[in-house]
Amino acid sequence: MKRLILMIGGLLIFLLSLTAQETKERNLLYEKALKEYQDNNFPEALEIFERLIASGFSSYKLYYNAGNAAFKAGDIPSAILNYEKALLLKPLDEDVRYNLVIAGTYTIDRLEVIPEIFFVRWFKIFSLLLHINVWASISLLCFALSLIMLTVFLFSARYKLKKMSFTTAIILFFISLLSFTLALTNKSLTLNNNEAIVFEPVVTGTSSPGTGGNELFVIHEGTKVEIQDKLGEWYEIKLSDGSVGWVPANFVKKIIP
Amino acid sequence: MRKIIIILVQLLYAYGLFSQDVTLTVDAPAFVAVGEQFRLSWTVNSRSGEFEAPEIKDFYVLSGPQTSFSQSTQIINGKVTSTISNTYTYYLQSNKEGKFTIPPAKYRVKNEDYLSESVEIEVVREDQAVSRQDDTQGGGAGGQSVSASDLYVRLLVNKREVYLGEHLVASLKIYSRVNISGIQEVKYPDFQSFLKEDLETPPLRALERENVNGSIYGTGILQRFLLYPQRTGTISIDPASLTVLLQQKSRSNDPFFGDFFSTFATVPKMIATLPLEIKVKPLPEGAPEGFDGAVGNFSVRSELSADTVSVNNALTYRMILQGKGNLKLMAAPDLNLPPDIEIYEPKVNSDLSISASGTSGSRVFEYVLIPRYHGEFTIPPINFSYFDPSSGQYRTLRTEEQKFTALQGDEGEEGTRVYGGVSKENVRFLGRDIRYIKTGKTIFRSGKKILLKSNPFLYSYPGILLLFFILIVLRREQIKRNSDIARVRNRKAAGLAARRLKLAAECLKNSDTEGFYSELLKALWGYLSDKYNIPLSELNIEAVKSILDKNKPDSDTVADLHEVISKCEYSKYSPDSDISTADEIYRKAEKIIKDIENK
Repeated sequence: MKRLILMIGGLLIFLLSLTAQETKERNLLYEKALKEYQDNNFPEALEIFERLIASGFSSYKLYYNAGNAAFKAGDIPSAILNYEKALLLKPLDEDVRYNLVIAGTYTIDRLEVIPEIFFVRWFKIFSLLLHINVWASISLLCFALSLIMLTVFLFSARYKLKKMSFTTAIILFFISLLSFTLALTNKSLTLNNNEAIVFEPVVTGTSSPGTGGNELFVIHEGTKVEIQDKLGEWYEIKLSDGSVGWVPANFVKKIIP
Repeated sequence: MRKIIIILVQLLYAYGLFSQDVTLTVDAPAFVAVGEQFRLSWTVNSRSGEFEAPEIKDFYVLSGPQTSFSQSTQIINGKVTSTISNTYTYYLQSNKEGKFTIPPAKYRVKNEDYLSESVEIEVVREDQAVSRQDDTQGGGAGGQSVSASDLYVRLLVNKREVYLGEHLVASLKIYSRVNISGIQEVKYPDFQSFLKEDLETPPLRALERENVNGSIYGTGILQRFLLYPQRTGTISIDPASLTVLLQQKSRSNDPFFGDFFSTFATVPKMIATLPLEIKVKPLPEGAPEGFDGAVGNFSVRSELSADTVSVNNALTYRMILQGKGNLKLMAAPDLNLPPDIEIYEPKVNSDLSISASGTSGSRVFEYVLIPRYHGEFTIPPINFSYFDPSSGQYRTLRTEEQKFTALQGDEGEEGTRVYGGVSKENVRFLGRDIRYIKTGKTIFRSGKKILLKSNPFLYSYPGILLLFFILIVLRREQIKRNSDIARVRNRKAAGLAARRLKLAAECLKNSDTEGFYSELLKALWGYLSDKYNIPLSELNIEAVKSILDKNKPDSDTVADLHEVISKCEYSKYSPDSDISTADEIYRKAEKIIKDIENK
């Protein structure tokens, strides 16, 4: 029994130290990339940033800096992709938005963007302000509190207490509902995001997947498209002006892979 | 002085002659009749060499070689040209029937040998066995009429059946066994439904000798045409007509000098060709896509001037069509290029020659391409389909696929970008750059655990709700139970009060007034508490009054209750209370309980 406890304890300490070690290495690597950027070695910095991103960890600063490194290294599509990723984590960051606009001026295609209704846009931005897990937690907490208040309302005999608890319960219930919706919106924007950036210098959209289709339009690197469907190695994409066509899947990169 | 100049000029000529190429040509009739005398001559444009005639075995040499020399000098616009011709002539007679070859003659200039071509002479046995000279002489003596077999004209075609668009050669040829001094008023047919090209034909100076079905005719081609039929079906060509001037000896014979002074008259005679029908077959079914009416035999290829070019610089793409056929009608093919390549109208260069074998040569379509964006570009192959009349099949050729890379130009060039089609105004952010990186530490989040997706999270909502309902149900149970207790208390209130009253009565018996009053109060309050389910702590006279008023008992009862309670409380602490009032109060309390119970 004692030995078992010792073993479990040892294992826990080992795992903890391992993760600590990994975190340390990660931070070191990140700092090295920042240093490379400061020394104007942009391709090297980009390479390290991309390695960090590929390891599955995310941070809006990491994406922003990777975007900057890509921009300076001349890889506009990568820059736009990383800025878009950063914007999903921090939608109101002014630097990210500004750099995205600058990078956008280097793309070729000018597409009519049909603007969203302002409250939809606000709602989306609001949903991105907190992490999806935070919204989910708020929702669950408020739901629980709302039921507790309802219980108080039902149990208490005093009029004032009853009135107050009932109002609070209603408000909390609505907050819970709202934050659940926000969590869902956040999920659709981040996890189920089907937007992609064109990475090939010139891509021809055809009317059907495969090489047999009629050519419909030509788009260039850096353009943001929406993926609607996938068939084999082909994506059906929709441009922001509403045009729909098929392109080879390896010509575009999804913002959320 | 003058002599010197002449010598100098002659020397210059001589020099000029040396520098000239020496050519030795042979001239002999292709057909001769047996026993006919004919001329064989070699001509050389030089004087300074030695001529060596070949051995002439198959013919009898009547005389020769006779040499003749002629020189002509021309000055045209100050340019002096001089031609020399030195002719060696043999007169031969044929004795045997057959085909004979005269080997090449040799001309030696300064140890260099120049050879003429060998010549083939066919000797035929003529039916009439008369020479041409004899014939004309005889004809002249015989009369004016020239039979249709002595002089006729034919329109000869090389094919009677052609495909639409396939060429054919028509030649107008004159056949004659009589002396002709000239040809006038040639009227060519108008070749309706054909596209006509005149083939270059050397002017007819002398008639060639030709063996036509065993007779020797003087023949000559007046004009040759290249014809491309423009519609299908049977097309008839109208006859061509011409007037021939015949040389005929006048009838009057000089009795003294015979033929020697005979006069010749020129007689015009009109002759015409026979009408001709050409069958034009339509092209067979199953023309491949993109077939544009090309008929013939072609080859096609493509060329690209460079495989790497920087953006906005031009490069040339050529499609070269070569072969025989109706090349002239070929239109420039469409290049299927991505819109990022600007393309200009093709320049078409034709290098065509018209000959009896049809139009041949090449047609080059030259496209100027300017890539407006960097990247890898592919010029897809161009399909060219044509009909091959010799095999009667359609063939499709493909040019090679051409690839080129457009390199990104330097900054200066990028600024002058002009995008065609998908252009957009270049927003110029002069002196603007992206914002600097965000330094400092950051928190890495592993985006793997998503609460919204986890089942425990999703189940906790119904879990909490369930808990809530359980609580509600429990509370309900409790309320129900509580209400049961009240009912029991209510039911047992009168009994309890009676027992307490009894206790009070005993106290009265023992003259314990203090105990009596306190028991009486306890009985009353306890009763009221049980009856109306009010906790004792909250019970006072006002509360009771309000409840009783609600239940609407007699006003007496409320007044009595008030009196009893106040009296009890007063008497409870006053020692001098008498028994009679206590008795009365007791009875009153009994009455109140009874009244409430009976209500």
